Amino acid sequence: MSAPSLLLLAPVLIPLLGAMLAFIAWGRRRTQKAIGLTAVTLLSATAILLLIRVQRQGILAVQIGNWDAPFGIPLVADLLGALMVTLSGITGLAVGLYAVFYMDRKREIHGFYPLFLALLAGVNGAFLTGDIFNLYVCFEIMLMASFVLLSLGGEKAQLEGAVKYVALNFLSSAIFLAAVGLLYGTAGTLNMADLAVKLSSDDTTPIATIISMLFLVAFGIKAAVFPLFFWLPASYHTPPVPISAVFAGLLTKVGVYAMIRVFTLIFIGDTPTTHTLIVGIALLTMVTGVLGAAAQFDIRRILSFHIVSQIGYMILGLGLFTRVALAGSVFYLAHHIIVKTNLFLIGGIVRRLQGTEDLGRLGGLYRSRPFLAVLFLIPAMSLAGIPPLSGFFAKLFLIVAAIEIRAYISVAVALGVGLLTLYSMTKIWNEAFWKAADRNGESSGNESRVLPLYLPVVGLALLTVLIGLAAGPVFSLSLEAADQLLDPSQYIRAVLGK
Amino acid sequence: MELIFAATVAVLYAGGLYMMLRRNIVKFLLGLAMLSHGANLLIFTAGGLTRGKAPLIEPGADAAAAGVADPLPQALILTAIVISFAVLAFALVLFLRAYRLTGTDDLDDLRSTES
Amino acid sequence: MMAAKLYSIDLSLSLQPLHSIDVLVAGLIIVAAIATTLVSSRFAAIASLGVVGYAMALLFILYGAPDLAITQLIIESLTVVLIALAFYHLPPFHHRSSRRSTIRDAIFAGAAGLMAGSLTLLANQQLFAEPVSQYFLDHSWIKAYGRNVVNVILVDFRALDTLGEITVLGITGLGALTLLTFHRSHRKSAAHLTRISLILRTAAGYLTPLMMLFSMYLLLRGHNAPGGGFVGGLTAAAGISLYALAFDTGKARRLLRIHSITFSGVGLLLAAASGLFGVMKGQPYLTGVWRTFNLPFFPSLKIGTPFLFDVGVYLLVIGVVVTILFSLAEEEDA
Repeated sequence: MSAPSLLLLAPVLIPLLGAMLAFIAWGRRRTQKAIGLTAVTLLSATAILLLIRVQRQGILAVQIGNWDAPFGIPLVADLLGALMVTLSGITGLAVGLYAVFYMDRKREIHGFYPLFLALLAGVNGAFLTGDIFNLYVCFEIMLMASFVLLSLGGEKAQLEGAVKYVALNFLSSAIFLAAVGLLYGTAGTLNMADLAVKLSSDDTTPIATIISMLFLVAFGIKAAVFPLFFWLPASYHTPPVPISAVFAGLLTKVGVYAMIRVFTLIFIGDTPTTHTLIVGIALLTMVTGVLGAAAQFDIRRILSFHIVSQIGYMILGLGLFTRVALAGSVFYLAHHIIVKTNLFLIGGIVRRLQGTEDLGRLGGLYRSRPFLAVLFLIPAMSLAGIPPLSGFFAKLFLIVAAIEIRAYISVAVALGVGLLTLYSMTKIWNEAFWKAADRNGESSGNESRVLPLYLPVVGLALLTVLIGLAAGPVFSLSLEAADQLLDPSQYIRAVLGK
Repeated sequence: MELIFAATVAVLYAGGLYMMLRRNIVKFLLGLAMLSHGANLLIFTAGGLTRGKAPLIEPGADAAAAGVADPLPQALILTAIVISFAVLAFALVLFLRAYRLTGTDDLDDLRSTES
Repeated sequence: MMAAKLYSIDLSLSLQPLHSIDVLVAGLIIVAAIATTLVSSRFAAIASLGVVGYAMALLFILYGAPDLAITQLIIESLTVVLIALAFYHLPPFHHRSSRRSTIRDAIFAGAAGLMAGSLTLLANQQLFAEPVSQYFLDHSWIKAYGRNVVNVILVDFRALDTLGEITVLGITGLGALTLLTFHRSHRKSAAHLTRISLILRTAAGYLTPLMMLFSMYLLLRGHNAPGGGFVGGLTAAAGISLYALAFDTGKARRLLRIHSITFSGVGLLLAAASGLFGVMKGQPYLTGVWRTFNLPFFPSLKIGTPFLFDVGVYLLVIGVVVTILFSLAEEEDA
């Protein structure tokens, strides 16, 4: 197996083997920790190498089991896939580092590390697989790991959140599975590139469009778009911070990714129907999410509702379906994964310092922790879209794309939701950092316990600034990714060799 | 025959969904199981029905005889059966713990994380 | 716009003739499914759900899917056991929903069911291209050395799916264990599942080893005939459960020598590592590597990495099923 194909395999196999080794080291906390850290480090390194390779030499594909396409299962890395895997590696590394210092002993003993690694394996598998049924399997790995992580520790709020999470996600999986079965029943294949070929004629479009609706619902639930998003804000804030950070940063994006993948590769026969519908869903998601956030007073709950509204932006780019719009979506994905993970991690430091995330009881952090305050400001202002941070450009590209095709409603909604996001971030800032502390001299002397947590937070904040400063190059990378998405023949050629 | 299979799929889906919408966690679990049956039968039927001939290669032959059942949907269903069993088993344990902790088996009462 | 385009779909049906047995079995599924939703006793509900599952297995047998039928049978039994174990800790059904929401839900569920049914029929009738599975039927023996095409798909052609599937299963075992033991302060001693009966003990003494042997037979023949690592593992797990039923869970756990969750980890790793042989030979992950052995009684016996993979599946299934069943059985009474 040549070096590039190994590179393609690594992001899936490293966390998978790591999870299995950690599994076998059941009960040995230190060994599991070491395995976990090694795996996320290797993962992020190989993911970056993969991205560089794909950017330089084009789409990479390997046939697992050495069976010719379309009979076996291929792994494929186009720019979007490689970029997503890289982001997953970065998130994995940051959260892994944070968890080593944050996670409580008991949760570690009860399997945090194998679960975390299995989750990453599932996520990366979903980003790289070129087979629709294998995508389902990867989703299930990711979901099952997230089910267990979400309920790990078994606190009351956690279990209540988990019940809803499991219920909705099971429903989504059942719909996904049925859609795959229907697809095989009509096209006789599961390879996504092959599906794109076989469903490209005019005869096939009506049925493909009908089946695509099922995919839209299934991925929509997983991505938490309107109207089935309520499970996300009901569950994401309940588990320990590192877990909810990786959920918030990475997990919903897998749904968005899957939606982008099938609606740029397979279901493009009737875009006036499908993609217009997607725009509508996107706008409703943006509005409901941001309004939900305005009513909340707990840091992680506010942030959870914002995930919903931001997912709307990412879907909007897919719905508008132009080069700039898709590039905007890709850029948004990259920006949001980093920023959101970081905000949750910062929420964890706040919690450590003040023992709560309830805004009513927080306060005075600006005076006692100016450094933390600045660290919070970077991702928060970025999320709200203040120039020159990454979020500003993410929104800018989408709005420019919408203006280009005169989608003025989208423009108006995107601007309005941006303003309301700013309001939410200001609210956290005012309550937690700016207003006077409730109780005086609150610094509870946890300095040594908090200090190592700054490392991943600072790293992610620097990355956010960097994306803002290097918006040009990052956006041109997004444009390249969008070009590949809009011209499926590249993907098909890489997989099927024709 | 296909009409009857399709009708069976319809009943399994309807029954499963209806049970999942009851507020009782045990009914929810039963509904989950029934919906999985529905999905499996859907894949089986959608992939085309072949009566009687299993996709086995006779000793001495190099390839399967013409007209045997399509093996791929079967493999997919096998995978799906196992995965849905896994989800069901986990959901069962989760709901059991949730019931122990909250003292209610009414899904509508599990609301404290929403406000 | 959608409606206009729908008209271009060819809606004429080509159907297979009705067989009275099949109609009967399908009818049984329908009746049992409706019964499950309507009965007010939970034990009646679980029993009729069991009927649905077993009747599904019958349909699978009738329509050329013996592997599916066996798996369905065993999984159905396991599901019923699991739900029954959990019922022991859960309250009986209460009627909660108002009449209005009941009607609303019924209409919604009915509409969704109707949609699922018609889509099934649609996909069954439309086929735009020759299915890729013809390749598997043609090459399963000459290229992958197996006569049971379904098993070859699982352990070779689409082994990556199976690797994912057993990962899911492994995580479930871990999850069940974690949820049930996280707050247990003391190590719960082994649970007696039944009042100890001498007959059962004597029977288990013979039956458990027999079932273990049979499970290995199923594992070995799986590549060429119905069977395989998954079904074999389930059979072995059933044997161990029987042992637990006759003695206690602690004694049965000791049959595995190591913690059941570690056991499943070993199985997972074996399956995943079997794919690395191909990588070492410069081929993609999970490429089958075969060796021919000339053993007494078995001249030119071909053994390959897909078999190792299946052994991994076998071990994992044992570990996970034992973990889940035993931790549920050892759950304390409230």
